[in-house]
Amino acid sequence: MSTFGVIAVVALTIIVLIAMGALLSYLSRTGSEKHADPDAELIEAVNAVLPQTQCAQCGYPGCRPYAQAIIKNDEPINRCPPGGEQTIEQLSTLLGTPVLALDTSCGQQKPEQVAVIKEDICIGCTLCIVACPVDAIVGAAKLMHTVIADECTGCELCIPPCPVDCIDLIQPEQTAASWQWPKPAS
Amino acid sequence: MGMFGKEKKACMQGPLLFGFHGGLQLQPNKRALQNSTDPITELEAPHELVIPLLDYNKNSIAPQVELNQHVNRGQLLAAGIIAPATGQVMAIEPRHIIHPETIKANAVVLEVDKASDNQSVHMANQANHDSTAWDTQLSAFLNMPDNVLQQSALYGLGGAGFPTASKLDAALGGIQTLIINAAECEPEIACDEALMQTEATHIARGIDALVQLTQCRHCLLAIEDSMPAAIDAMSAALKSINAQVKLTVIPTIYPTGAESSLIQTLTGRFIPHNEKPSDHGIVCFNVATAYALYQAIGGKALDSRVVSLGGSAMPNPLNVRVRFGSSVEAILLATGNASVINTARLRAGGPLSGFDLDTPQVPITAQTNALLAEPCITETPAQPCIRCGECSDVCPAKLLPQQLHWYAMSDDHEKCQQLNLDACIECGCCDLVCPASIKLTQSFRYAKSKAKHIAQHQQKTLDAEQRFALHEARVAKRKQEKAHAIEQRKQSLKARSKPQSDQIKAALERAKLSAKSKKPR
Amino acid sequence: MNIIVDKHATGVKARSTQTIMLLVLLALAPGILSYTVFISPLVIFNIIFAVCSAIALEWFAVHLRGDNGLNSIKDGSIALAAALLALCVPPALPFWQLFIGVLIMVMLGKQVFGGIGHNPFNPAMVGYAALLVSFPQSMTFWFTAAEWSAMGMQKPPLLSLLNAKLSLDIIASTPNIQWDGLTQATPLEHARSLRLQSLPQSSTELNQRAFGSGWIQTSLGFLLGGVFLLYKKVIRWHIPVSVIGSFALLSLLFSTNSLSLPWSLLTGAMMLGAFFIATDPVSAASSRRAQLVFGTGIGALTFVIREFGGYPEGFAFAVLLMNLSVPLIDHIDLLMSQRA
Ligand code: SF4
Ligand code: SF4
Ligand code: SF4
Repeated sequence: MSTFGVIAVVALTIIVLIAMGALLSYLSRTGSEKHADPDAELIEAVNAVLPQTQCAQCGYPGCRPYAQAIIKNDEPINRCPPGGEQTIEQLSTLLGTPVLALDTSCGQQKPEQVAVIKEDICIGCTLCIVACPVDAIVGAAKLMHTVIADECTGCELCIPPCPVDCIDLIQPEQTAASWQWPKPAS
Repeated sequence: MGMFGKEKKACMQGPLLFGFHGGLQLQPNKRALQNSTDPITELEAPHELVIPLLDYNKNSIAPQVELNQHVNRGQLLAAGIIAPATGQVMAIEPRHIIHPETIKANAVVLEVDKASDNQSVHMANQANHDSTAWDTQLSAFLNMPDNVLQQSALYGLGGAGFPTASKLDAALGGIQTLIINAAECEPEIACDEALMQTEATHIARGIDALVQLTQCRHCLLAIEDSMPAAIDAMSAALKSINAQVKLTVIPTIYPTGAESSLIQTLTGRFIPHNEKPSDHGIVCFNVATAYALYQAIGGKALDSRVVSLGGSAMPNPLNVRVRFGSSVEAILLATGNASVINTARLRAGGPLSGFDLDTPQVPITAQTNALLAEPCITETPAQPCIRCGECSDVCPAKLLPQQLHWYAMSDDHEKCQQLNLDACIECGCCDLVCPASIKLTQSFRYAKSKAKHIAQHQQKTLDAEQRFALHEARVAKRKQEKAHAIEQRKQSLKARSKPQSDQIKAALERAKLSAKSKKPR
Repeated sequence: MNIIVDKHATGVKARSTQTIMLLVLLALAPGILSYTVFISPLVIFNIIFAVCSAIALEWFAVHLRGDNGLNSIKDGSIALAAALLALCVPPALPFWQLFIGVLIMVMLGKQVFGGIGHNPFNPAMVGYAALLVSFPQSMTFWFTAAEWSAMGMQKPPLLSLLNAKLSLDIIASTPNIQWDGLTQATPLEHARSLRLQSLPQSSTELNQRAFGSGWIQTSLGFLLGGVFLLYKKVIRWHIPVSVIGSFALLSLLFSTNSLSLPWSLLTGAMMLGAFFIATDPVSAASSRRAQLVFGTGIGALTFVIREFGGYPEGFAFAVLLMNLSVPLIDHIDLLMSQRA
């Protein structure tokens, strides 16, 4: 190879690479983001990952308190049974900590569920309304209560207070609105 | 794709046509029209009609009728849903609906009262023949369009089933171009063509009503070049009533009947999926919708549609007009096609946009444009993609199906969004050309419905969080109020005891003072 | 699951992967024919040997991975790759060396990545490059049948060459030959050596030599096959046109070679490469616009390597280098179409 050749090839390669790099960085540039309070932002991010079932199985009175505890008190990330493995994985990528197995002392992961009140048994005691963390139960004293299925998170907190055991948890049925196309076999 | 994307250019009679990216020429099979003498056969309402209580978004809605109630044809069963026949409500219960996978939804089950229903048909026919009434009816409609639209529960009959009233609302905001879609681009579907052959005058009136109502600058009626009879009938009808409508013949390239492709063909404008045609001064209506509007103005609500019975395994293919809620089984029985129920694969809709049915005991809806019987076949299993790029060459939405498929299958919804999955019109062109038999369209439907599900779930999560925050705030407030009340009570108790002690003190002071004052004395 | 897109009712019959590969093999026929007639009939043996061993190796590799080996042979892609490799190597290459090339092509070029559809590099070019680096002498041993007999070989040329191909070392087995003279037998190499030695280059002489060596005729055969593929829409114009176009443009502007432009396009691997090798869909860029960039890169790199590099023909390396940049090109293409 002649000297000129070597120089030409090297120069061409460098020019092409620089041009491609510049183009790439130009095309994929994003606006810079502002960081106000890193802790508050992290808590927001963690809270966004948590399932918002508000079941308190993690030992905190809801998802946000648990999120605060994760960031402020280094609480382990594996205490949320409704979120299960998926949430733990998301948390571990978010926080850069290792993936842990679900702490089963908090509970087991269950399929999606909603509460229904057997309306003929309900005595209208309002105890479940008080227990529901997301206000998904409607009713007035001494009148029948009912669960708004769309708003129920299936947290089970209304089950223990019911004096007549009239609340069941069921798996929500497939409806025309919730149906999904099946994934093709790959 | 900017500079190198090739656009098919075609110049047919009438105005310049622009064409759209990709697309395919399909076999123009229309057995329903070719093999029968009558373009449309009228079917009597079957014994039982099942009307699912679902709105446009497939959410359940509450019935406005009761069990055993007698309902008249045209009476409201629920918001936006009318009774397709006169009869009695036999049940309001979950029933199978027409759907890719057998699924139930709450439905009104009507037992048709044949005698009084036949009477209603008779009366309707008479009203139809009375054409002097049209002008009065039309001006009444133009004065008060909402009356007609609300009473007649108009839906788009093109396939998406979008409520006509909301589309018209958008159109009333001032549009330039009104497009009447008579391009039935899928093989085997011939309902619009049959309708144009038989009801040309009425369709022309319906279109005229739309033109007058929307006050559009121009109106285009787009018919595919593969339907000469319909073209002749419509141009004669439009001329006879002197309607300001330009009949445009477009080349038969699938999916030219898709709204976005049609707009592009006629106007050259590519409307991104996240914008509405009305944002660009364009509104599209299906030709069958124009006909339904004509009927609605004449006082007849939308309660039936033309369905093409076709497919290579259909013994007696034809077009039938049936009431909504008739079961597929009843239609097949009434047309002498009962044999296909056990021997063939039944399909609702066309070969590309339709879906196979698990059972014939499902009611048809406004969106069911065809029922096909095809032989049972085993599909070639998918092989690895060889990146040939054929799929993106034919994609009318200018997507990269091959890359989209990869991300759809790996559930990478963010990447799917980046690659514009939402713009996919699920036309199936990419499947048709893929040498590796990859189920591209299904993977896109899957990814889209999954993304929708995730979004719904996220919304639910967000709502739960907010309600929890409100709940907490309320509990906290109540606690605080309680604490506050206790505090106040204590304070007030103290306050009441204070003046007493002050008085005592004062009395003591006074006593001391008086004692002192006495001493020197 | 139910059928989503009912192809059977639409009248559209997509070509299967297998059909595509067979069509490409068919399109190779005119080129192979003129190669056999004008350069060396040995190529037939090479093709048969390469295809058979490639199929066997592919079956073995897929079997090792625990898949059905027959399925992956059936699509014909490995047979095509083997035929292309056999067309690229010199006809007299000993069989065992060709076997090594095929082995590398199947294993390192294709199967390590997971088989068809997943290989980032063109498998045939991986095999070719490995051979060129490992056996530089026999990989540059080019001559025609006429040249062979003109050198006064005793036995009929085909037989003696076959004999050589079966031996371990082609050079040791043909001791009477002036090797230095022979290794510059292709017109491209001849032109290059003249240029490097600063000898006077007579373009008429070069052109005659090119025609006499059979290269022109063979390239025309491949061109014919390429046009057939374009006509059949098995390949699109974007890659061949951009490869040939960019190469021609650079040659016109900067070539120090006295080979006239049509001749430099028709000698060497340009036609075979532009229509059959660079168009391999798996390892090429995916969108048509990106393919133009991809092809332009191949043409330009081929020119640069031919002009300045250590090898007289640079197509294989140009393809491999551009294969390497395909993800980048695709990515940039995607970002640009999103901007638009
Ligand atoms: S365990 Fe229950 S309350 Fe705690 S984070 Fe999980 S869902 Fe929220
Ligand atoms: S058509 Fe099929 S094989 Fe070709 S690129 Fe698209 S998905 Fe891949
Ligand atoms: S189904 Fe979607 S991706 Fe496939 S060609 Fe149609 S619009 Fe494009």
